[in-house]
Parts: sequence; structure tokens; C-alpha cells
Amino acid sequence: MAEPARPHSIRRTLLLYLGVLSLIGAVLLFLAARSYGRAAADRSYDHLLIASALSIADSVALVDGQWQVDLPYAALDLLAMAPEDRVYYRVSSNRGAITGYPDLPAPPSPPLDGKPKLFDAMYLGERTRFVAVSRWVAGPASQGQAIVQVGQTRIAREALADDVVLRALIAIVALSLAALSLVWVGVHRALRPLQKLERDLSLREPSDLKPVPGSVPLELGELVGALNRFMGRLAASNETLRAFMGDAAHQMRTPLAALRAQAQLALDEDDPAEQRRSLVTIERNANHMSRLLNQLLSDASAIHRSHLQQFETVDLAELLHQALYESIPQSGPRPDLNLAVTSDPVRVQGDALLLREAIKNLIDNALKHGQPRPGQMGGPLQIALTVAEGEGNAAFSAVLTVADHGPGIAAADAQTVFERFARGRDAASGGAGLGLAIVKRIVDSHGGRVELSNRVGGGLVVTLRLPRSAL
Amino acid sequence: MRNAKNECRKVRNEKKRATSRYNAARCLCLYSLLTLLNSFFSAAYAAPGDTRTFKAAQTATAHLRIHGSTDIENFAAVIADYQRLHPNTQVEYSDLVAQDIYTRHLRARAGDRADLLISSGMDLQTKLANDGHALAHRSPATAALPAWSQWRHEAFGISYEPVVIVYNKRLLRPEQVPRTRRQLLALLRDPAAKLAGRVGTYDVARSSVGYLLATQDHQLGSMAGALQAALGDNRVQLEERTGPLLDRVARGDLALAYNVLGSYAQARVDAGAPLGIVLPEDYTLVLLRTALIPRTAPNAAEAGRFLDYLLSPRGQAMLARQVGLQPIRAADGAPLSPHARDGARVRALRPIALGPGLLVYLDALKRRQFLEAWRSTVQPGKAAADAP
Repeated sequence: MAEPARPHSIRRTLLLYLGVLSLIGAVLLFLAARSYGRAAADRSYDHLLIASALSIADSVALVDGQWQVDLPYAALDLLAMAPEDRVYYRVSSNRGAITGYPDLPAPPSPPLDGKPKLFDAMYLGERTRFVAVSRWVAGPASQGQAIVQVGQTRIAREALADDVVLRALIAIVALSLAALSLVWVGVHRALRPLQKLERDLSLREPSDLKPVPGSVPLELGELVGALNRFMGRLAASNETLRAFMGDAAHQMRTPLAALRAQAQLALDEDDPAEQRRSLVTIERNANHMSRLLNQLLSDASAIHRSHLQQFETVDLAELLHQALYESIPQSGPRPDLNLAVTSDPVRVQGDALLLREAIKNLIDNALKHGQPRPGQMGGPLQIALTVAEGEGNAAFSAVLTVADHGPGIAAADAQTVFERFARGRDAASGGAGLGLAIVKRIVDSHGGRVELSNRVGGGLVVTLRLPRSAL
Repeated sequence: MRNAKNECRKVRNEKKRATSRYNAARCLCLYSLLTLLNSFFSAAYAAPGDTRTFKAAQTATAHLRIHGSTDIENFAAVIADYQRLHPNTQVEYSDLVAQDIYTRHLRARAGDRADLLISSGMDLQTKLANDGHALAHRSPATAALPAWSQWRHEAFGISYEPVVIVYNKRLLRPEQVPRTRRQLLALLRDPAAKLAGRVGTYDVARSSVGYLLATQDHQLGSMAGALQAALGDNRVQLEERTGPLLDRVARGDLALAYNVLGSYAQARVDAGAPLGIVLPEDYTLVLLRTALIPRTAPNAAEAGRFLDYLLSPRGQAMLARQVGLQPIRAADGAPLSPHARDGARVRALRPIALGPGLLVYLDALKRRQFLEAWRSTVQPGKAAADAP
């Protein structure tokens, strides 16, 4: 149960999946932060750039057909908010540059009036952010279109974006570490009951088959329940086996002692007639022992198989016929027998071997003990298979009755007759007292009931009810 | 085209310089004679455009060509000190005005390229860096710099120069000395002060440092316009370079000069000139003398080494002692004690920030407009005469 190297680890699987999940989350967050950082940096510095271009545009005038630009000090000083960045500007009309840097890269498309055009371009070997604004200037005598273009290198933008990304990265790393440790702790805690169960079981004495104590998580309930049921069955089977062996030893001891005594007697006897009588006794006792052994074996088989519970759908009518065939002696006088079987299909969930054994036992009992006493009315052995209203969960029951004309059963014995090695007070010799006990065990394991009743005018009726399976 | 124009401008500059010297000589013969003697014999003030080669003490294995706007005389000690540390380096230093450093770099051909540009024209240096002409330089020395004193690891402030008002102590009584621009304005408007023709400042059309300071004034103070007008009303005398301007104040030719680099004034004070220095208490502009390694530098590694030296404690101490430049390292909020010996307390230092804001007034249209406005207020007569 506690192998050091397990080929498949639930913990590893959980850690792997949850870990990969949080890492994917972290990567997505990082990408989002990077794109946000760039956008935010561009947005904030673009405002400055646009403000600068607009203030320059405000200073453009057309006087006597001559362009005038009174560059405001703040227009460029404003851009020193980005302390390390170079600044370029140009004011141009449709006839060319008016002032500033004449060789600035042109915007991809001319700016519309009132709409600043932002774009990136290379200038003096450096990627530079530009804004171009257009202004319609009207003088007293003339008018014209002025385009103001202001550019700034991207050092401060990149620094701001990097700063945003760095801060986000720190948060993401911290978050991921927290998530991973939470995953680790969570998985550890979730699997702790499993470890506890493992430790609990591995520390047990081999003979300790008590149910697992304490409450377990919902997910383990079924497993532990099954384990407990299994151990219960194992314990019961152990107990039964111990009791069986005790009983068997006890039961075998008496006839064996008698056998030895008879044999001793026969050895001491000189008279052949007496010797023969002793031998007859020995043979009878040996027969009895043989029968006893058979019944013990049958009981053991019934115990074993009823624990196995390997049930399938069986036809009770067919089983009855087989049992009759096997129970009725093939030689000698055929017993008088009355058989009534319903025409409805009588199928039950059960172990065919066990059920046949139970029926055979009932028929055996009836044949053995069901002979009328001298001076009483006899009659045929009556066996009937019918379908009745169901009990418990089953809609219908299969009912098998075996009625004989024997002495019936005393009220005092009615309770004990199903116990093993219990025999009726005035039962004929040759029985081991196991027959009805076997029947009861088998019927019980099939969820059925067995009832005994005395019939009017003498005789015992054994009624066997089994839940009938659906058609 | 630009080069041609620049060439013309340079020629004109030379002429003007000669004319002004001639005028000065005619007005004050004794002083002019001394000045001429000075320039001819002691070479105390080398003319811009001069180049001097500092030979390596040992076999020269490394060469370094510097274009700087600092006087050779002042800078020589720094170079000598550097050569003590690196005896195999031969240094060639050219003294140029800030504008020339810029234009010469742009039109430089192979063989004529500088390895290091050190200029007080921080706007021009910023434009070079912005337009991709500078090489980034990172070292432990630059990492120790305060953030405001460098831009993009390409332009580095090596010294910290307050822009001050300089006056002649013999010509202005202590109670007359203006502590703020408002007091200066009042003084200029006071007819009793008799300052007409006796105040000076940079000619912003020729001096790029003067242009930078005037535009920063324009940018920062609401009083700049009124002050310009008052200077114009007093027939302000214009100079291209700091040295001659300060010399005229020291000679008593001028009573007061507005917007002058403090380090030059301090050097003259230390030399015994009768000059007083005022850090305006409303705000004092602080200029960063800015170093830059051009992308085309033939000896960029050597230039980086020299820059690291300038920024090192030893280099900074040398700059402070020999050149009178305020070190950049101690400048972080420290009071400017060397320049405030007259007891003035400085509360409002406004370092000019390296960065794209400096590009605004370099815009050709902007510059033309600013200069037109400046001329019309500062030189009303001349502007009218110049007008076609």
C-alpha cells in the first residue's frame, strides 16, 4: 500500500495542472501589462506633444503675406518634462518650411484641421514620436494653411512604459508565487486524509479488521466505505471459519470416539457374532460421519459462496427440477410426490448452485423426517412453486413450499431449528443438524425468508420466499 | 549660406572691435596706451581666435583639441594641471566666442575637428546635443553630477556662473548701488545719477551669451522691457565680449555694467580692479559653462578623460582657483560666498536649465523678432538709422 515510488501521483498531477494554470495566467497578465504600459506612456506624453504643437500653432500669424512665428517658450520647455529627450519642431506652409527643422519626416497623411496626427518615424537615427497639427491662418490680406510638426525622442516614454511593466511584473511575480504556494498548500491539505488513511492502515496489526475510524472527505467516503465493507466481510468470514472449524472438530470428535470404542470392543471380542455386530455399528457410525462431513462441506461451500454474492438471473423452476432429480433416490421405491409449479416465469437473482443446494436440503429433510408416524395419515410430499405479492423492494416474491406429513416441529424447537448442529428433539438419527441452518444461510444471503409452520393433521410446511427479479 | 553669413559677421566683428579700441584710445589716451601695451607685450587678454598648443611633458601619445570660450590665460593653468596628471597628452586650445564654437563645429572638416567644446553659450551647446552632434559620456564623475547640470549625458555644466551687475566703486556711492532690478531701473531713470553713456551691457546681436541672458531676462522678469528701455535712454554701451566691457568699467569709462558673467568680474576684483559686484536680489541668473564632446571628435576618449578631470574635485578646485569659476559640485544650494563679499545675500538663484526650452530663442524667426524689439528699445536711434 505504501510503495515509495508510485508510477502515478495525484499530487504531481494537481501541482502540474494548477501550476501551469497560474503560470499561463501570469504570462497573460504580463502581456496585458506591457501593452497597457506602452499605451499609457504614449498617451501621457502625447498630451504634452499635442499641447506643444497647438501652442506653436497659436503663435503662427500671416502679416503682409509673410508668415510670422513667435515660438512660445513654454512650447519646447514643456517637453523638458521628458528630461532626456530631444525635441524637434517645424512650421511649414504649402510652399515649404517656415522655420524649425526643415528635414523632419513627413506625416503618413496630411493632418486634418483640428485633428492632431500622431506617428512614429526615424529621425537622426532615433525612433521619434511626432505630432502634426494643421492650422488655417487668415491675415488681413491673405490666408493660408500652416502645418506645425513637433517631435520628441522616446526615451521618457520607454522609461515610463518599462517602469509600469516592472511594477506590474513585481506584482505578477508576487501574485504567482502566492498562487503557487496556495496551490501547494491546498494540494497538500487536500491529500492529507489520504496520507492519514494510508498511515492508519499500514500501522495496523494484520488481524485488526476494525472499520477505519473518523470522518473522511466526501470524495473518499465511497472508497473508505467499500474498504470497511470489505474488511467487515473478511472479519465475518474469518469468524465463521473459526466457528466452523471449532464446530466441525467438536462434531467429529464424538463419532470418532464411538468408532474407536466400537473398534476396541470388536478387537476384544472373541465371539464372531459379537464382532459382526460391532462392525455393523462401526459401519453405521462411519456412514453418519460421512454424511456429517458432506453436510459440513456443503455448509462451508454455502458460507463461502454466499459471501461471494456472485448472483445472476436464474430460473427457479428449472432449479427445482434439477434438485428433485438429484434428491430423489434413483434406486429403491420412488417416494410419493406431488409437484405444482406456476406457469409464470419465476426468475430470481441468485447463485444457482446455492439455491439448488437449499432446495435439495429441503427435499432431503422432507423425505427423511416427513414420513408419517405409525398410526397417522400419510400422503404425498407436496412441493409448490408460486408467485406472490412482493415484500420489501421487490414487486413480487417467488414462493416455494414443501409440505410433508411428518411429525412437524415442536414449538420449543421452532426458534433453534435453524441454528447449526441443532436438531429436533425427536429427530431421526443420521442428521447432523445442519440442513435447515444451511437453507437459512442461503436464503438470507439472497435477501429472502424461510418460515416453518405445522399443518393441520400433522406435517411440516417449509415456506421459502425469494424476491423475484423483474422479467 | 549660413557659413557665408557667419563669415561676413566675423569680419564685421573684427572691424567693430578695432573701431571700439580706436575710440577708446582716442577718448582716454593713457588708458588706451596701457591697454595696447598690455595686449601687445604681456598678452594678458589674447584676442579671440587665438590657438595655443600645450606640449606634452613627455612623448606625446595622446592629443586633445579643445574649442573654448574661456580665455587661454585663465585656462592654461587648468590644462597644465591636467598635463601633470597625464604627461603624454598634448593639448591644443582655441579661444573662440560661443557662436564661433557652434558654427565652426557645424562646418568643420576632417583634421579641423575639436574633441571637446567648452562654451558659456549653453543654448548653442544644447542645440548641438539636441541635433545629434554630441557624444554621450558616462563615467563615475558624471554620475556624481546634480541632475540639473547635465542633459542627456551629452552636455555637462562644468561651472556655475552667476550673472551679476558690476559697478565702478569710485563712480557709484554705496547708497547708489542697486541691489535689485527695480533699484537699477530707478537709478537709470534718475537724472541726478548722470549715467547717460556710462552704462554697458552685451551687444546681444553679436554676443551669444548676451543674447541668452537677455532672452532669459525677457522670459523671467516683467521688468525686462522697462529695463531695456531705460538702458536705451541712457545710451547703453554695447560690447561683444566680457573682458573689454569689464575693462571699461574698471577704467571708469563706464560706471556700471548689467548682466555680466560674475567669474570675469571676480577675477578683476581679485586683481585689484575697483569693481563692485551685485547679485540682483530679485533673481540672479546662473549660467552653466557647458562642455560637450562632439560625435565627430577624433580623440573622444581623451576628451572624456579631460571632462572627467574638469568635474573631479581637483579639476573643480583648479577651475575655481585659476579661472575664478564657481565649482558645479558645491553649487547645489550652497551660498555663493566668493561673489558676495560685499555682503549682499543671494536668495533667488535661477540656474538656466539645460534642455529643449533653450532652443526656442535660437529659432531664426524668434531671434529676428527678439532682436528687432531689442534694438528698437535699446538703440532707438540706431534702429531708426538702420531701417531702410
